[in-house]
Amino acid sequence: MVITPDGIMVAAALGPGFEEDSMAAFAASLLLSLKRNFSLLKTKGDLRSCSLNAANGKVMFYDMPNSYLVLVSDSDTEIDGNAAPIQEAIRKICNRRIA
Amino acid sequence: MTLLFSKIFFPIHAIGLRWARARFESHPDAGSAVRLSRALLRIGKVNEAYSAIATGRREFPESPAVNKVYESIRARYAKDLLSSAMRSLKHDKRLENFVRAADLLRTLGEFEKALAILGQVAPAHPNNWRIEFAIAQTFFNRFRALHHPADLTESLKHLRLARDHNPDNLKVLFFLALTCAHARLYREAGRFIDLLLKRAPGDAKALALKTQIKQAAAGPQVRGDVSRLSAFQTSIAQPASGTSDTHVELAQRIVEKAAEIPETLGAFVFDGKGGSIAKIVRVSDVFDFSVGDAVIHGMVKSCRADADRIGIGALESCVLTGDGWQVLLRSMDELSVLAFLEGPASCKPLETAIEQLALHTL
Repeated sequence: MVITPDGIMVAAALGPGFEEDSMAAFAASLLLSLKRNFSLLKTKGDLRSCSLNAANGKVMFYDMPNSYLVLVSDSDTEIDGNAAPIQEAIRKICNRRIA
Repeated sequence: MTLLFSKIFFPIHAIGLRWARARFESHPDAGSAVRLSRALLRIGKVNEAYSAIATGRREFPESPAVNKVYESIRARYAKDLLSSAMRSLKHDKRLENFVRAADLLRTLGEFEKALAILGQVAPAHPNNWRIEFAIAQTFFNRFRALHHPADLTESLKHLRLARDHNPDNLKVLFFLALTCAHARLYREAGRFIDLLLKRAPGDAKALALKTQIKQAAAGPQVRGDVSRLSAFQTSIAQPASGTSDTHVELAQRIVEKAAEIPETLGAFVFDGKGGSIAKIVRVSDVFDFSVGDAVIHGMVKSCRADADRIGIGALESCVLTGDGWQVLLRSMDELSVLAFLEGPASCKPLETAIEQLALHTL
């Protein structure tokens, strides 16, 4: 799923059980709140990615200029954030030209 | 002119020395020890003056006058030795000469010069415990002089390297225990002192340090005390009522474990009500933890609440990665652990250690 920083879903391909718009809104709210906290902590550098592991699944967020890439998986799947397909997807989205 | 004066006054000083020596022999107290060492210094016997005052210091360690004179004579003695060490270093570039010169510079408080000398010789002797030990001692002395927590961290780092290269060295073990105790890593300090005592059971200094570590570990810092003199500013706050002793113990062990990881900048343990149970904080320019625990706990609350709202259930862990740092949030039972690490460090070892500790404690 690709979302904007204010929680608007741009594109999504989620499995059953996930409601795209609400997920986009909550994900954006989480990232916004984390960024606010890091700003209060006067953190050097920006938040680049976030990986949430919970009882029923995993969600990973990747900061791209002006948008976030959100990956959702079940809790048993190991996903390497530096894996080539993820980095390639980020590169493609970042370099996408709109006609 | 100075030489002329010293020649003129030599007989007077010699009489003074005789008198001071006789006085020390008949009434050996702090005052006579000071007078004897000063008299020896006046006639230029720096070496003997140092021996006399060092003996006096052993006999009267609490005397301010003895300590003051000891420091000044020690500095003078070290200066004399340093001049000779620097002269011999010009034509004899053996490792021990470099280490000796660095030791003397350290004694004189010339920490930068000592580190520069060691830095000069270190590339030619990789994995050498003596160099690592000398660097560690220099950082430790600088920490004691200037109280910069980063120096204590550096000292520990080099002591661990020294121990890697020479695991049985008693001096290294003693210094490791001493430095860990200053960093309030009492469990680790106790472990090193026990290792030392296993090899040298009667070592008086080690036995004294062991007692001090025990007293410090049981001291008032256990609750609510913040030390600005340690590598980590440690605080184990008063937990909210209802927090079990098991959770408090686990929290303490978690922050101790986090402190062992060199990349750790801070670690916080919160109870179920958001109260801070234990924390360690290292001064760095990556995060400013002075903002308060509420902001840090705010991150825990956001992650927990949003994981649930997103629809993936109760949060277990969260890894946040930024430009040159990582933050690990681990949620278990009623505790939440938040650890801040610098560099591209992987949170995995800490996460595994936390799981192991929880498994054994809860």
